[in-house]
Amino acid sequence: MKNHRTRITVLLVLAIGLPPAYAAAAHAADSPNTATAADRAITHAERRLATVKDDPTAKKSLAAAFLQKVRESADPTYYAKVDAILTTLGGPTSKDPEVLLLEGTLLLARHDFAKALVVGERVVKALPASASAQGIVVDASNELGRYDEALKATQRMLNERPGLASLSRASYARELRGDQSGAILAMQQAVTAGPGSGENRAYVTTLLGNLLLSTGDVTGASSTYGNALAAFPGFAAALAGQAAVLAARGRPAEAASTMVRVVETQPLMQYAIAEGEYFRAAGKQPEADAAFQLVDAIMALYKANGVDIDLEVAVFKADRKPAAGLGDATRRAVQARPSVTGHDAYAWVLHRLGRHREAAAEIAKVVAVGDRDPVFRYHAAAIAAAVGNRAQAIEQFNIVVGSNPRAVGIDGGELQKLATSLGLTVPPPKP
Amino acid sequence: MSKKNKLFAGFAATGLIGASLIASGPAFASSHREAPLISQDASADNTDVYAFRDTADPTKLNIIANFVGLEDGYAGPNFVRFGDDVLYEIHLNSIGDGTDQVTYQFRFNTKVNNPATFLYNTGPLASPSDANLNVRQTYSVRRISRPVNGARDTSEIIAENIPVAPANVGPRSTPNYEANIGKAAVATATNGDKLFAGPRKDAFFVDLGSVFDLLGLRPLNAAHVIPLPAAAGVNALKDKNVHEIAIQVPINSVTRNADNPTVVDDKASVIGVYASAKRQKFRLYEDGGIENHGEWVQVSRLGLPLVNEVLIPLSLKDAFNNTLPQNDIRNYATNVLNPEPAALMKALYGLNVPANPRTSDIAPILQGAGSGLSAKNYLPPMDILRINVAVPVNAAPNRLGILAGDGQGFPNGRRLNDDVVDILLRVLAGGTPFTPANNVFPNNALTDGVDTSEIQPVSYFPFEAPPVSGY
Repeated sequence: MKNHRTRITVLLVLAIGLPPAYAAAAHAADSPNTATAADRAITHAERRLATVKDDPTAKKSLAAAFLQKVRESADPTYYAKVDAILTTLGGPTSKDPEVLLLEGTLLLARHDFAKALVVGERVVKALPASASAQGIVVDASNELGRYDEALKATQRMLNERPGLASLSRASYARELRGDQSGAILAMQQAVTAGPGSGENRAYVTTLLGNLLLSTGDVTGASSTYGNALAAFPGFAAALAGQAAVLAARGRPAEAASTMVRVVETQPLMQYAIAEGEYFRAAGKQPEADAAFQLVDAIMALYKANGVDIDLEVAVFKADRKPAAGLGDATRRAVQARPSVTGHDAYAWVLHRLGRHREAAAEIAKVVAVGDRDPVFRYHAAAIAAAVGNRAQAIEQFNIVVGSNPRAVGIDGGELQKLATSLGLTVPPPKP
Repeated sequence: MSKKNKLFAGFAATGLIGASLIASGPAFASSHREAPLISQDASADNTDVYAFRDTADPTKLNIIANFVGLEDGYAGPNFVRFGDDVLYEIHLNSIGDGTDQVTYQFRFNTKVNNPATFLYNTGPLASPSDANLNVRQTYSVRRISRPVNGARDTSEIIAENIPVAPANVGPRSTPNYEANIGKAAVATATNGDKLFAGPRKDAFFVDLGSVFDLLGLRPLNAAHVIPLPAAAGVNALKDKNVHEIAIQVPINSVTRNADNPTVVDDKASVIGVYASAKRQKFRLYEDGGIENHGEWVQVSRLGLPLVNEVLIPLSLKDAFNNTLPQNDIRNYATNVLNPEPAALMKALYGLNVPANPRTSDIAPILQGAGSGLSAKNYLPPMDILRINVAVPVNAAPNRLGILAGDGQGFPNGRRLNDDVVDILLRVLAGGTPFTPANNVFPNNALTDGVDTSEIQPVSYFPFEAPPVSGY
């Protein structure tokens, strides 16, 4: 296990920029003989641009490869490069629908969902029969809380092409509305409609595992994450899933060591948070604190690369020691992203600031949509208890324990206190 | 889009977005949003279609539809399979309009004997349905006929529960593969048609690595705008497998007058062929209610080689794969008659290519001119392979088909050794008799330098060679 301090330094240096030679060396150390398809595409496109300057095809191919590269490395510094390339091709007002598709993808990645929706609608106009054009509209609409529009676009996407991309979004449409079994069925179809192996298959298989875990099916989730790893060995999201399974089985120390490995390969914020929480649950507070410090570094890195993370920061900070100003910052962030994620974050910040009545009104918006995510429901239960709505608190608490009460984002100690105050018990971990 | 199609997208110089799957970054938000926006659908991806008269019995027509593609022999334990949730179809048109008069539908079903083991097989396999086979896939075939002579339409199951040929795992698991498994997996339908489904060595051959790199043609490297030393072509599919569906049917079971035509001018002598794959419609909560397995939606189709891959831009691929051949003129005439690769040839090799729109050469070639189809039985241009079954089998076939005066070869049907890449390169460059001014060197001598497969097809049904072993 690498020293946490070193990791933080490396991330911070990435965030503020490196001397090129040092950066090149860092990359070489990363990937000795493990060039992926994206790496090869980058080499190819760069070679072409060296000979045929300004070739738009090569530029588009390079931008697409960089976007895939972020997916594989979690290194957001590629976003600025993609942005620069797309700008030379006309950016969000380009006449080329393929540039717009890339631009929409970049905007989604940077959490600029309002702009992504505008660009998405532009691509749909240019390519009415393209499933991926509809996909931009689906994703942006979901993040903006425009769920009816997202549903319609998802259906159009399915009509164009029932495949991995559309069926995984169909699954989310159902999950969002609380239809877990329907969501699982759609995700199973997404898995079989995809390629036989590789990152894409691993990705949707992992999402299927997450769904199973959130219905309390720990065994099913465990074998599903195994399938994802068979499709793409070492896949970080599936390893994180296996850590979640370990935690659900009451083995947080092992979960934490798994997450240390995950964070080494993919330093994503939610993975570092998971690492910290599992360490805390295992009683290893210094390790937990080091992981949370890493979260701060990752946040800085993403902010420096133009990714809007105000909401994610809010939840993280609310779980620790929220400052009074966090309420206003989060309210503004929710205005930009009035989704279930946004309302939940704002509700939780308000609750942690002691503004329970406002929190109750905010979390009601999440519950009304229907999503049975255990963290949302844990927040709903705690807030209901804080405003003295015992019946509501019990209802929400029961959803949490029927799902995964050991999910990241649920403080075990706090959940136990809540159970005691309601005269209920947290069930023992599943085998 | 198949891996092969993705590589061809480079050849076509259309956008390369498909070359790397688009996905938003993994940053933080709710994980659903990072699901890929474009993804391969290999099991439903049609890579090539072949149609040719049988040499041993010229009253029979062989049709091969390949799916998935670029499979490595060593893909275990998760060997590639046909999709259980995909409807595979071979379409035959006997009246020249692209509609179906005969349709063959293939459905697959997989069973795992012992889910507790990860093994594909638990011992050596002596037959396609050996008890040691742990992952077993079978198929059924339905034949739908819509005769034009007034007879009644029929739709019947002509085969059920036929084992798909298992993978060529290696000498311990699959000793004597071809005798025990490959040949043994050929089945006879209740109507006498021969059937095959399973992995085989891909018969297609092409220098993907070079054409992907700015339409490089190794033998002509010196003439490229970025010159390199000339070199021999490299077959990228040298050791790649594919999933083959093959049928052998009597010619008179698919012609419009139920006859064996002998006159090439006879309109009844031309059969159109294409293959497709469909997935089931999925309905969320909109009017009409929830539906997880609705009607079939076409997600892939292919007739002529390289039309879908090369001439249809990436941005239109979903639409192309959804639509039917009979509407191709309306939908895609512009893309085909103003081919993007031709402009690239001009830019990269300085070739003098015919002016757009290519109505005097590409249009007639696509309609069947020079391919054993006389002007009397030209068909409208569309993405279907068409074969004149009155043209006798050529005992000495030429890889360049019609361009070398072999009227039994591509684009009159397509045999496994027809060099469609070289033919297409020359057609795009105008190096054919249809455009005499451009029918000059090097336009009429373009080549990727890969003239045939290292592993040759076999002489018997299902014709593609046994799959490359994983060992």
